Amino acid sequence: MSLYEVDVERHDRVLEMTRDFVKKEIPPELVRETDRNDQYPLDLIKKLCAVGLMGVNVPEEFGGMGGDVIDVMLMYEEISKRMPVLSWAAGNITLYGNEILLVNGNREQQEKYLPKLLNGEMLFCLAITEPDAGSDAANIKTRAVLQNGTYLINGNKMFISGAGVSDITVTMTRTAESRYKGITSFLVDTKSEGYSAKSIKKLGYNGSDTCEVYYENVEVKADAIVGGEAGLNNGWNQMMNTLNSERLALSACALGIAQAAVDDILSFAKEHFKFGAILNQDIQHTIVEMATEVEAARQLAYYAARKETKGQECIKETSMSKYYTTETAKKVVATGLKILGEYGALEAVDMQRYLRDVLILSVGGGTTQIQKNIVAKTLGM
Amino acid sequence: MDFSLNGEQRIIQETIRDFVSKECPREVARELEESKLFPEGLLNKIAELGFCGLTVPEEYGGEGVNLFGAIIAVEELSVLSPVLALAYMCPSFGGGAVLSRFGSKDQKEHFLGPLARGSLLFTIGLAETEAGYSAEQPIKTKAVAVKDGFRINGKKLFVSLADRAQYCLTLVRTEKPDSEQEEFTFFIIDLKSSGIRIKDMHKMGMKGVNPKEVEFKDVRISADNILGGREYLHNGLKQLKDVMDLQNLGTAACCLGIAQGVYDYARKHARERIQFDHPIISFEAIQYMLVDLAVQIDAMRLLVYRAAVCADQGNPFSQEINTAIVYGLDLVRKASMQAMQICGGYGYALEYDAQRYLRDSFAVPLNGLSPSYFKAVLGYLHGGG
Ligand SMILES: Cc1cc2nc3c(=O)[nH]c(=O)nc-3n(C[C@H](O)[C@H](O)[C@H](O)COP(=O)(O)OP(=O)(O)OC[C@H]3O[C@@H](n4cnc5c(N)ncnc54)[C@H](O)[C@@H]3O)c2cc1C
Repeated sequence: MSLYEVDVERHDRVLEMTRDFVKKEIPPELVRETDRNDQYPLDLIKKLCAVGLMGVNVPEEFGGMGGDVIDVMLMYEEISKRMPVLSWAAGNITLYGNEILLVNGNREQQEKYLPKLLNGEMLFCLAITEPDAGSDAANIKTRAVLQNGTYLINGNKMFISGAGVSDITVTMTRTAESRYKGITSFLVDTKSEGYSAKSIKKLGYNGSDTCEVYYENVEVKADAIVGGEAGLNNGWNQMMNTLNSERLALSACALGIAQAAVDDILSFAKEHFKFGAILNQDIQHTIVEMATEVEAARQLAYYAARKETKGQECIKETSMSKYYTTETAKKVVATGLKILGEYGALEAVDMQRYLRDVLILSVGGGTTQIQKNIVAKTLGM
Repeated sequence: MDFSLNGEQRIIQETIRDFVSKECPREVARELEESKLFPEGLLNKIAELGFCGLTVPEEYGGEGVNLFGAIIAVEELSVLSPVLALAYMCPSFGGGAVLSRFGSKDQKEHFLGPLARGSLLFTIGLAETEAGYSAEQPIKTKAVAVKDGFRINGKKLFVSLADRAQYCLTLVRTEKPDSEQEEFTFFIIDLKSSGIRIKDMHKMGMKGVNPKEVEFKDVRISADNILGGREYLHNGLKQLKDVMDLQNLGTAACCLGIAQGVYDYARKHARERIQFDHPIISFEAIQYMLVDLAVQIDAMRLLVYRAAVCADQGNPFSQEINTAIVYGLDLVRKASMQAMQICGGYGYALEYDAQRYLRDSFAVPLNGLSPSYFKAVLGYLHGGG
């Protein structure tokens, strides 16, 4: 019965494992507590490793499940339905660890780190954004300068999720003047002298450990360049190679939150409103629209993902998906809050947290406007 | 039709703007929200300037009823500090505006003076369930006639500032002998009476004016405390519409002010933030988002001002104010969400104000009613039955 039609059996297994995990390990109260105390959910990450899910996108030869981006999305959506921030934390292994190493790392780096990522010994984060380089990511100024055989990194990064808890911060640096061809990505050990991270208090995704990061003469060896020597000044291209899967994963985060909003509003409505009466047709039809829009967004996202897994060109589709799923999720959650009125704004009610969480998804990983710029280009404009 | 403010209105606007820029600039508004405290000191200063008297006739110690002036005050306060605007609405709209229109002579003499001086706070107790789709249907709180008045039992939700206010205008069920029909009555209940328990409710925004749950257990009250006096027993539903319309003048002005504030904030960010070597306002995606908001804020301002003018002229204004509130509640939410998008990551960090406007926008107090409620009221006014 799979919607996703690529590798039905494994997709079903991932879905089932994730559902079991959520049911067993993530009671709603724990989610609310994490939102309140802003603690990175390290325990749950270790448990996700223990059940094997953090190897979802890693080939079997490295001890993973050998899954594709659809598996990642199924897992992200299921987790995000209950606990969005845990899917981001999972990104500190699956996206910024596994994916980066598998796509751009060399064999040595893969062998060195993948086992430790999979068993929960190590976390990775990705540092691109800087105060003056957000949407304009190629504007980064953090420099890596070669001196006596080692690189010295200086600069600072902004909004780096997991930078305080991670062991490795994959850091995009400027190594030459060329805008795109002067960027190099380093695996920076966070215990290095001169590295520091300061957590940022924010509206939602509490527990994501999103930080400002400072590099003061942080020393790294040349073998810490992602992909080894070949990676020198190739950081931009490398980033492009992992963008599709990040955009699809973020699409799945949006779908999860949106679906949770639909599920919550539906059970609320069934409890509080008598249907059939003309009075409540307004609410009934509004909820129908919410459910329809989420389903439409989901179809687009998994359509893009199927193209990706088949190795087809899908920049257009993944950008469409990133923008459409996140904007739809925002709209759906806002509509849920409109139905709930003041009740929905209570801290004890999850809908307001969905709003606080969902709003960043149309910003992080390339904003809606940037995705539209990309789609415009692919459409020949 | 004249679309400019008259001399007096302009003075009111300048005075409140001056007050806000001196006493409640952005940093103060931010600290106020973070402290989660009721802005008592600032409210006193607003009262000293005479603003609380704008909803009270001169003969009772006010400035003469000038609802237009009062909504200008709410609007201007909301631009920077929605919390302060709501604090101001407590004596002026929930109290002054309502009692000036619907209070008995005794009630006016007793309450309006202190309300005009800002030394008395009133709030409204309406909703009893989470749904809040219909104001009257789920009301179970009941007043039973006893020897020297009534005994009230029940519970109200989403009562703004019940911990601060002295009185709560409370809609309760009352029984009419020999009548099958459900009857309702508005009582002015002293919140310090025995038998009242007040519990916190915490919202995502509007910290400092968070709503409360108020429980009434055998609360004794005199028939003199029926809104309008004894003869208004069983008149609650009729009064409800008018009370909500008056209250909504303030709420709609608050939506207008927040939308303006969030627009100003996002526009400033868009002009200052450089990406791709250009201020982001130079990208049409951003520029037109701001333009769309400006267009809608302008429309909203006309809707709110029209409703207030109607009200001041003593004309019916139910359709006008419900139109404004329906439009305004959508606008304020949309505006704050778009501001979040325009500010990017910096909208999301608690250090900046976009997220505060967002939280406040979704927490505008509606006495526990859902925004759909006002649409239903309009539907009724448009003949939907
Ligand atoms: C909670 C959180 C977690 C994050 N995690 C990470 C992380 O782990 N690693 C990391 O590297 N970064 C991370 N980021 C940063 C994120 O990727 C950036 O916020 C995002 O790229 C947008 O950049 P910005 O915030 O500087 O917004 P800006 O680029 O300043 O954008 C502001 C507005 O201008 C618009 N705009 C900009 N340029 C154009 C254009 N050319 N055309 C039209 N509109 C335009 C944008 O769409 C947006 O609406 C995170 C951010 C947050 C808030």
